[in-house]
Amino acid sequence: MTTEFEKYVTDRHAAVKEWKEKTQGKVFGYFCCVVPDVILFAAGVLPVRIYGSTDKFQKVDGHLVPYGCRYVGSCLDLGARGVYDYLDGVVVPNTCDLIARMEYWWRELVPREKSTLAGMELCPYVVYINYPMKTTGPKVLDFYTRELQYFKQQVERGLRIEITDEQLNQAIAVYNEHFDLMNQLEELRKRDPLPISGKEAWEIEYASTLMPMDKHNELLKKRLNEVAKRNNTTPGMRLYLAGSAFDQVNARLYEIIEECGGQVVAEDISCASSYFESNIELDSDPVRAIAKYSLAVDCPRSTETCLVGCSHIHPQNRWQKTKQRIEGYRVRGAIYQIMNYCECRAIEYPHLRDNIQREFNIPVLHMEGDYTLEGLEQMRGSIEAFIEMIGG
Amino acid sequence: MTTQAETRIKTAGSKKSLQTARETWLFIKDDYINGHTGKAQGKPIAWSCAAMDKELFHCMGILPFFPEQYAALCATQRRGGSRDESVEKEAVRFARVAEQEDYASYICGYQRVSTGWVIHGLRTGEWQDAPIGGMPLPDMIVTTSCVCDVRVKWFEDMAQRLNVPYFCLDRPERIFEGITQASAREHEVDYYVSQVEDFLRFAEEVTGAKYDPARLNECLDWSYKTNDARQEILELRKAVPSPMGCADGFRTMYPGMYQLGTKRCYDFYVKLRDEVRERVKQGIGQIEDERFRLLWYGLPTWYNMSIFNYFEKYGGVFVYEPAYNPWPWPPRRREDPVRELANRWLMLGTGVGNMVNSMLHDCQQYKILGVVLSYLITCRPIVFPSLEINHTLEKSLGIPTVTLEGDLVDERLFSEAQVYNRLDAFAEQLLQRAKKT
Repeated sequence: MTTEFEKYVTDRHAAVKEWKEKTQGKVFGYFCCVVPDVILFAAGVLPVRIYGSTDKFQKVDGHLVPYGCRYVGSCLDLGARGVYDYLDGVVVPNTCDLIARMEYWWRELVPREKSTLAGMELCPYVVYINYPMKTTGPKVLDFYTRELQYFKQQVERGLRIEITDEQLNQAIAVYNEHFDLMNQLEELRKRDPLPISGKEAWEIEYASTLMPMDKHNELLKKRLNEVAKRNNTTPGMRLYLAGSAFDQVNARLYEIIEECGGQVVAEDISCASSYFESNIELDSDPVRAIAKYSLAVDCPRSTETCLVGCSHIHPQNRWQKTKQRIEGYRVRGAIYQIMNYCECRAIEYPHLRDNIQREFNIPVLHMEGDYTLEGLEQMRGSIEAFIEMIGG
Repeated sequence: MTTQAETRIKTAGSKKSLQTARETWLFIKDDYINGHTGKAQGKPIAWSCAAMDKELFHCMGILPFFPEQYAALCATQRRGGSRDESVEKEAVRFARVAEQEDYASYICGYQRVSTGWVIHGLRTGEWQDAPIGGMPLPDMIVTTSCVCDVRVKWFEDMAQRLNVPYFCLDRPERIFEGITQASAREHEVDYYVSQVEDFLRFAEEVTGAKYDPARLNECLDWSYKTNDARQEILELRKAVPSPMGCADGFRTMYPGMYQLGTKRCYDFYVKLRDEVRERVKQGIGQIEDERFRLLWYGLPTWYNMSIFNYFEKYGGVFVYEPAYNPWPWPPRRREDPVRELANRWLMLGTGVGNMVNSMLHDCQQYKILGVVLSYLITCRPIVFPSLEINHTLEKSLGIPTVTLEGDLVDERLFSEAQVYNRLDAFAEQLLQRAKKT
């Protein structure tokens, strides 16, 4: 039987279009997990994360150079082919050198009807968010709160609505419930024997980036009850997985790992719900509360303010989060699948690898991904050998 | 990406037209000598990057060094100063060290070379086993968020390896269509001001020195005058025949890029301006018979600066390179120099549309017939807009382009034969066009 989660996983476009048809609501696409989708949800908009596909590029080869992330290129190609024609707007944060440039290319290449008055678009189709690169320190929160207020104003102007504090607080409550539920799922993944496979946990998370969060919460509650009662356990070498853009293409790696005798029990994969460690703290200013939450999202690109005269003289944020993600999961090995040209992850990798080996005394496997199923399949041999080596 | 490990590039330095350009190397050498002497005397050393406000270092007596500039220097030299072409360049040697440590070969060459040198130094203690005796080791590492993501992660990584205090000056990344935009939004300016103020507190804690706005104003006065002189040079470079080419442009960027805010930097550009002015007055060009004019988009191939003289045999000259050049700043604001810095930097944007429009403007201003797109496969912010620039120049101005693949400093990624074949064909195309115009 196809579950509601699977419907979104197997054909996200059809599922979202069905939602749109049924509700006559607006749908906004977005890149990256730092985007404050909760503001869109508060506006009655369905926020859906933009993902790519394994299709060959058809429209963007003449615009994008080959020396950039193929995942982002694939997202744009789908946009340029009209596959994302159901989107009423797109939110682009500056979360990496290529994503930030989607502000231009999505505007230029994606076909749409543009209505203008006095040369201005009535509803801005692409909204850019200037996400700070430094997520801690003086005035960062003030700056980003102002950026999000501006973002909210653009959405309000574009849709000719007002997003009230009450609506924002209601949306925050839904999102906080989601974070709590996802935390419960994480607790289940700490169990040994393991009651849920890595792939199934990924599907749940992935669906949350495509469907209304309140609906996802309902389904997740039921699923958690069912998983907690499971007697049949999921065998496999317990592994930590890190890498870029784990959408339905790269998620094939979960299956390959499972077929090789492994199980992913914890991860750092740049997905929204990978970052539910902190809730949105209710505040008299909900936009500020959302900004604070968003700044706490752990992105490989972000850096932090360091303090002179103490041990924290250079950034620890990525290692501390990595450590938190591994601790308690009885992980026996770590796999890094870093996509070609994902420089932030590529530069931090040697440091994280050394720390993982030192702190947890587990081996680390590094593989370069190219966002193709063939490329993933070629990793099978390395993964098999890695798991065999750990098993002794 | 294919690495041509066995290829030895027969690179040569560029032929410099200007006397002042030849003096840049002395300027650089003096800085390294002063840096090592200063380090021995206990003066604070910072490692930083191009888009940092250099006046902040100078006003606090901090000696800044730049891993990116050092990597470029490593690209020009072989071990022990050897001229034997079978000896690989120092940049390649250090890039290999980084790659052996699992840094991907697609990462920026500046990062791989400087990080490789750091790893080599930490392993062996032989920091001086490098061109010009290496950089003095830092007391702080200071980067900015602008230009690219790599600079932030790379500097973080070096700070972690060297265990020194780290600071990132976060600059709002503005996206707009025009070339510059005078009015940043207020909260962007406020944020940048707070970042500079935070840096000044950080530098005070690390060095024990006190920030003095009067001293910053002095440095900004020199910067402002330097900026005026450099803009005048850019204006003079529009002349036909071209008085100053890209080889000299890139070679003379060092003082302005890395020592802005000092009198000696100002003196350097005044001398350069006077020399260029004189050449324009006398109608002296880079070559005798200038037949077509080229623009170089992107950063140079530091290991092969002779490429900038390649078209001379066809009567072609590189007249302008948009990289590293100044832009007209807002008026001085002595009552609030920090806010002045913020307003100055926030005039710039980073979007693709911004880059494309800028190229359209420059090609017209400098009477360009063809553009070489330095297709730096490891420098993504530079390479990303290149196809858009290519289409737009062709469509809007009928200007053809040619792309050259390579890295900034790692010559293994540069295929000499392919590049020169392509340039020869491009020269023929431009000669045909030159006849028609």
